[in-house]
Amino acid sequence: MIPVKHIDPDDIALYAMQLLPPDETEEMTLHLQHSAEARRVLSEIYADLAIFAHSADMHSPPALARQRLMKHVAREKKVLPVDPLASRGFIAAGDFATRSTGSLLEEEAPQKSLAAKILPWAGWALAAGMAGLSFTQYEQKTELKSTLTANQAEMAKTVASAELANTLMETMKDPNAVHFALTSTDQKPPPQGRVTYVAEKGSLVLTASNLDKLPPYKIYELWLIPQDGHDPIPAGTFRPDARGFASVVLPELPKGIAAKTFGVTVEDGEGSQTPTMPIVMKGQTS
Amino acid sequence: MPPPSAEDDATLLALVQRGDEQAMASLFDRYSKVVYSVALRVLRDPASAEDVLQEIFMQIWRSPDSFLATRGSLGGWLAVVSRNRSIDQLRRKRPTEQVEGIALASSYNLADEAERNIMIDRARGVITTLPHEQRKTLEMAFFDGLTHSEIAEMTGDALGTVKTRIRTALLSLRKAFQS
Repeated sequence: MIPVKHIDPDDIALYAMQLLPPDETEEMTLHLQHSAEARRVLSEIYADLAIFAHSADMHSPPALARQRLMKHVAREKKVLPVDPLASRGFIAAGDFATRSTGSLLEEEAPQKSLAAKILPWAGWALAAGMAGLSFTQYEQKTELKSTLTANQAEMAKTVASAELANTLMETMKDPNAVHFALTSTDQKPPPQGRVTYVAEKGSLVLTASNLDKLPPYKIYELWLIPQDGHDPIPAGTFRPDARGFASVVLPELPKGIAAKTFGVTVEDGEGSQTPTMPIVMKGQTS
Repeated sequence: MPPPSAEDDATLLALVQRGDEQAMASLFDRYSKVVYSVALRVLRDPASAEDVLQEIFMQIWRSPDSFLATRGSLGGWLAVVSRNRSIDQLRRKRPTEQVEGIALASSYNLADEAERNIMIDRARGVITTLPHEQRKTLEMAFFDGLTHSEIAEMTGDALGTVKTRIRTALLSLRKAFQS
């Protein structure tokens, strides 16, 4: 039974970008199988996305990338099966047959019966049939061999895996086992920030610690995310010192904007008017 | 054998199918820049972008027939596949997209270098004409791989608004390209 359900065209765009949740993706895949119209819309969206993808800044891949690829390619050389019908010997024999029987037929046609006309071809047809059959059998044999090898390898893997699982269970259950909890001796503390903000006055103080160093052309930027759903407001840029500390003190902010939360992003140059994903720190009210 | 015609991706793919390494190198020379640049834009890390590049071209080498079946612009497909693979890598997911079976409705011949460069210039030009919210929302979805719910949470917009904005941005893009 073909499912009949209205599909929102907006969702097809999300599907093309793999942004739908798994259940909706599954539903859309099913719908696409049955709807030529939906497939047409999807192919148009893919074309739009291909255009949009070309808006990215163009960079040449590293010089050695090509060499690395060709090395992989050479390592996975393809072995093509030999087509017996195209093999030189058979074609030559076929040509010969055509040529020779052709000339004979021209000379002797008036005297020959139907059987006599067919018989000279029968040998060649039989030979071709046998060659075809042999090749099919050879192919089947090769396929069976490779299936057998694959199955044997799979079996060996399963046995090894079962043995490993047994040993694992025995180790875990052994009453003589001693247990140690290990933690990293070189644990890097996560970046932290604290924002103090008075909405009526538009005054704000941020202190942050354990921040990662940024390249010289990048900068951290703090964003006030308004409660009323308006666009994020830039609330100051900062670079951490050598120990990862940074602060923003009383940046210029409009008064009376209630904050839903604050976020920090990494921006180019001296900052941006709109945040660039991802958000590296996000606030919770405390 | 003479070098394959510069505008014929299908010929190159057919040669790749027969194990022709030179044809593979030609495809790499033709499309590696776009594939790498899209991956770099998403992942922002040259090493990870090269991983995606290698993975995609090895997929072409292993099963060129799946790309032959795309019945559209190989260059366009590779740009979209590069984006999807990179997003998969961001989410640490296994590759999910199916190249086979769906055509890409494109009339651009990206096998031609001049046409490829025109496409890049036009795409950049047209993007700047989109309303700011549309452009930003599409970038967040396409290049940052954020779902409509995540975008709605970040921007404070309604879910429906975000979805419509993405679709409208794509339609505007198409219209601007066709004009």
